[in-house]
Amino acid sequence: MRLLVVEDDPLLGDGIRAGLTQAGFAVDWVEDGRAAELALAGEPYALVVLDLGLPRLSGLELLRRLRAQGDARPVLILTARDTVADRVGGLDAGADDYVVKPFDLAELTARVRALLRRSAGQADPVLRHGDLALDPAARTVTLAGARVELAPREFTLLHELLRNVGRVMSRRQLEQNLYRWDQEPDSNAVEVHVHHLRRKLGTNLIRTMRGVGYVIDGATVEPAR
Amino acid sequence: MTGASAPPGKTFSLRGRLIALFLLATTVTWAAAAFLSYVDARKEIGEMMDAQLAQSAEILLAQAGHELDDVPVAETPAGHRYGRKVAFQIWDSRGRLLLRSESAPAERLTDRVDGFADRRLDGRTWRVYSRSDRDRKVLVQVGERREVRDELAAGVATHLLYPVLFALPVLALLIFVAVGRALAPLDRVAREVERRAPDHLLPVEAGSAPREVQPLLAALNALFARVRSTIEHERRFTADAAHELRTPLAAVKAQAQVAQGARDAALRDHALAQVVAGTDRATRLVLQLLTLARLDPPQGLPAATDVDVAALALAVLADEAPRAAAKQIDVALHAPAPTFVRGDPTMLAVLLRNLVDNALRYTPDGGRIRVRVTADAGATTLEVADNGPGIPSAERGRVFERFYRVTGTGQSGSGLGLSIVRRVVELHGAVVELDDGPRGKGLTVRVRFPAAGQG
Repeated sequence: MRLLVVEDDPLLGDGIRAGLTQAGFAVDWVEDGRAAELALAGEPYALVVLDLGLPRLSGLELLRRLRAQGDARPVLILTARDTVADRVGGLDAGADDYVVKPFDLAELTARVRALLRRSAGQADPVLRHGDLALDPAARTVTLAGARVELAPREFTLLHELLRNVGRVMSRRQLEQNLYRWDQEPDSNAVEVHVHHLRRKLGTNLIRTMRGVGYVIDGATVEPAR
Repeated sequence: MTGASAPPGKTFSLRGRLIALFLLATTVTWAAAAFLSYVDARKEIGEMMDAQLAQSAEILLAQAGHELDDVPVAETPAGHRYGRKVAFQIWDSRGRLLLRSESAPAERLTDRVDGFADRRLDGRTWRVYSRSDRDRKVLVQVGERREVRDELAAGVATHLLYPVLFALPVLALLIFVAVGRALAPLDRVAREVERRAPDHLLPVEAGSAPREVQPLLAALNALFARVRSTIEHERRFTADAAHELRTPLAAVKAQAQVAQGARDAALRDHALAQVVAGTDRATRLVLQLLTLARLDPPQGLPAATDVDVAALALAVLADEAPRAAAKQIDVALHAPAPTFVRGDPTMLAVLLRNLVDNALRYTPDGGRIRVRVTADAGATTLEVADNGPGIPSAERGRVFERFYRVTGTGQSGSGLGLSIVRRVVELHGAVVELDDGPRGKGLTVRVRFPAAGQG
């Protein structure tokens, strides 16, 4: 899943990107508000981690513009200002959550996952499909209760398809969610990952729609739990 | 005024002083009036009694003329309370005493034969009137003890003083109340100031205060305003400082946690290097904050001497030489002669170090830094020029603000370096300006000091 980190401090931006990458996200990092605006216009980020004290275009102003454009993507604000007025101002400007510096990386990633879950309208933190279960926090996949070992990209691809059950995802869409902009995927990378997933989880789970993309069909979904 | 907290012995009460002064003035006025009355009464009484003496003598003479021709020496009794103090003698032309009052001495009252005389007899002063008949057969002398007059005059004056003795306490009480009422607005102001919390620095309401207190209130309110702005400034600075420290701390923590979770060595090493860099940055930020705090003396330069800026520049560049060498930056100093500036050597060193540090920080590897110290008509110019990225002219006004950083430099400074430079420049009465570097690329920082002895 693709995230955008907007942080003007080089050390902190680098740290957050590394930390969220460890948690399995594809993370892009920009250092000012303008660059963030451009990035958000062009890429399908699932969530934005936004510092408020940004040069060129302040975090709050960027947030207001996003919401004014009807962009409902979850935004988690990072800030050094921790007064109630600051928090209220940030949330009222359209932020979904608020983390005060210095923060715990584990907490930040947990909040990011929670926001993603909520934005997908999902109550259960574990994604389930038939006897397949995917836990984004533990980064584990089980099939009929048995643990299945997946490579990081395979996990992310499965996660993406499970989040969009019944919806056909194009190869381009999947690539954008798998890779940061500084990582150029091989032309058949998605096919290779899908191939591996079918080998590990069964051939019927992911259906190929020729010329369109891939889909996990919703028809086979059993009632959750 | 309730100066409860004031040290004893050094303060006085305005109310007590007013009351004492009022009472003193009243008493002095009254005493002066009594004294004048006494003097006046004495004069009046003297004239009146002289007239009585003369009249008595006339009457005695008229009687003596036909009744006392051959009367042997006789005494007449004295009945009135002043009787002992009034006396007469009647003498014939041969100097024989014909008649005298009981109170009169046997000795002749005076040698004068006509008019008034003062005479001391047996330790007493007599006022005597002498009168003879036309053919000088009989001499009448009427005397009166002087103290009678004094007693009468003193009596008049004393009677005048009695009401004062009764009136003074009443007057004191009235003055006490009146002064209290007059000073009530002062008390109100004092109480309002006293009640204030230490951080309540809004102006005291001056509307109802008396004219005399207005200047005090104005001064007080001006002080409040100054203190308020100082506190506001300090509070903002502290908040900014805390804010600025949170980011490097967050970075250090995030990088440390990345290192903890890293499974490959390269990522862990990178994160750990970032932890070290973040710690260095936080340290530098704290040092810069301390420098800035120390540069905030309320007035002027504590220790101004003549400082050779050329020598100082050489020393700072020598210190920074290893850093320049590490980045292969070509550093040159152009300072042809000792150049003196009136100022504080420590602060000027801080100024130079910040300018050179900025240049070294932002100039890319293999770049050039030029430092020039020149004197022209007594005024000294210090220039630090580099061929780094420079500062866009739109941002040049803002870079002196605290914590302002130019973006896209790839460097994470404290955002305080140029604030420190500006503060030192201000303290030395100098000016600082930013310009393009040599050949339009990079940055030149130019500090102009006023001629020594002028600033």
